[in-house]
Amino acid sequence: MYALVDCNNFYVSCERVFNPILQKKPVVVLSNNDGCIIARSNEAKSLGIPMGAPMFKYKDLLLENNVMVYSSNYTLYGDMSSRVMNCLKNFTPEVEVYSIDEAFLCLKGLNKNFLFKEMQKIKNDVYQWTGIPVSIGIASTKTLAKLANCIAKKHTREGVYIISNDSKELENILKKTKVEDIWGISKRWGARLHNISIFTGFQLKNSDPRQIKQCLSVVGEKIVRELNGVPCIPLEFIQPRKSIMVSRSFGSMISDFDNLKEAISNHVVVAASKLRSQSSLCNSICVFIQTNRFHIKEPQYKNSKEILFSEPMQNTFRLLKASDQALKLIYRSKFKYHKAGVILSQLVTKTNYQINNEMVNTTREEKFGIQPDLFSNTLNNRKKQNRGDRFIDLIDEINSKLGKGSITYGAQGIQKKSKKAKDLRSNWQMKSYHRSPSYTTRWNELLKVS
Amino acid sequence: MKLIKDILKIKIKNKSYQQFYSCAVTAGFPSPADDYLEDKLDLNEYLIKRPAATFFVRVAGDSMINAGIHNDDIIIVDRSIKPRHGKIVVVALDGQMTVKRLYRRDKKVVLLPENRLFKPIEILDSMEMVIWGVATSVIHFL
Repeated sequence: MYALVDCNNFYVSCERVFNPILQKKPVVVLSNNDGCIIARSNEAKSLGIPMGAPMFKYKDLLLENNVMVYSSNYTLYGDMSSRVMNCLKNFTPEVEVYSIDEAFLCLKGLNKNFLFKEMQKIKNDVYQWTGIPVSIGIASTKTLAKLANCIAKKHTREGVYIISNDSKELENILKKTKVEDIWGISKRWGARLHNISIFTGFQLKNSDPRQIKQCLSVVGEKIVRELNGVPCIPLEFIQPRKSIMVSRSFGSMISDFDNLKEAISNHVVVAASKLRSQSSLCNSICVFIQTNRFHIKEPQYKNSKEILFSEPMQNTFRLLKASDQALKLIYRSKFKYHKAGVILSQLVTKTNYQINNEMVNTTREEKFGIQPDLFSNTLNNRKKQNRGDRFIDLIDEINSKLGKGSITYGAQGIQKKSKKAKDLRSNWQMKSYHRSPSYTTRWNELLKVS
Repeated sequence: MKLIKDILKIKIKNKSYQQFYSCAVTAGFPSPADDYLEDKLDLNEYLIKRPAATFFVRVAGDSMINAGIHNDDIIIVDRSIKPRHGKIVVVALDGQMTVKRLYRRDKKVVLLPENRLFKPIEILDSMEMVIWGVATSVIHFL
């Protein structure tokens, strides 16, 4: 059996843990740059605020109803998420962290009643330990567990729901479920299924898997089998990412090169530290910039430039240099830029690369019978490079001990620290006027009690 | 600048821990202590039993001073512990966070301060109290 554990209104719940006054009040959390509403408490949902609603459209409604508004605080949500996941790992090691607020568990050989009680215990314990309420859906496959979770969240008081395999109940549920609401079926796939007269989950369950394979792909076929209670999608465990992208839209439009460079440099620093934290090296960096395509009257421009490296690297200084080169090639003045980002790609793991590299170098030396330091990758060069990497490690360590941004690279620009920091911040920085403290990761922002 | 030097020192020290042997094996006689290396003492491990349920909380005020909790101290709060009678707890009282000793006898619940200048708070039905967690230790700089 599989269980899907899903945190209820996760971002809002995180805010509520540290600010109990928010209990039972309408609360919303905004996306990066305070643009859209991306999380709503049940109270806010019943006010008719839709998911993804643009903030400016709903400002009045929010004010009228005293809705508490928060900027997203991913530092806090990330920490709370890892706490919830660790809680789950205490019950079973077979946990797939599916997203920041969802995890699949694999459960073996338990009868239904026992399972129900056990899941309720998990739910209660997660709440007790972390303060985060969760709902749990259980079924014989991941696809059905996802469905069970929706029911647990919407239609049960306990927040736990089990779908048994061959029951009439499953039939009823699937009859009421649109195909595009089934896990793994996108809107595009939904439209294709409509073409062959499949509209409900029940119809999909009873369709011919071979036909679905033709219509969608082997993945579609797997979904049909999963709906019939045959597990086809096993738990997946985390693999290092193949590329890393960091991009943001700006707080306000930017035209000048220096500001743009500052923004991009900051993205490079973040991306590079992600790269190092997963012990990878990258073979290329891509920089992209674009204007706001919604401002139709403004002149539009977007472009990107990828720079390939002669050997994989993770050194922030060298990545910064490359990003600067790339930006110079694509920057055009007289445009108002809205968004910029960097992508590090063709990642390889550091250990893999080192092993291969050693082999290549030794064979080279043997083959040519000459000293290795005649090559471009000389010992001296390598030593220098190692020293550079050690220096970066040191910066990483200082920043992790004293807080992000304790030491910054020159290209990132000078941070403006003042009481009116909000007004003096660089143009490119995100708007986040309603951010809660990072209660669990910064000594000077801990929860206060009297 | 001094800070950076200190960190450099830490870094260098850490480096020496990472090397498994306390002296290089190739040169001379290996240290007789090498076979007896143990892990360094880790305060996290000592103070925190369940990391997923443990939070650091900053105290404001002197209401718990006789329990050794001073203004600006950090208390370590474990949410997984059952809040029994006599424990020091962090509670949300009508939405306000406070730390007090929990008195729970004869159907009566009282939050007791550890300072004569403060009054005990008896919990009435009209109040909303949620116990947030149990304090397990306090970090106080001398």
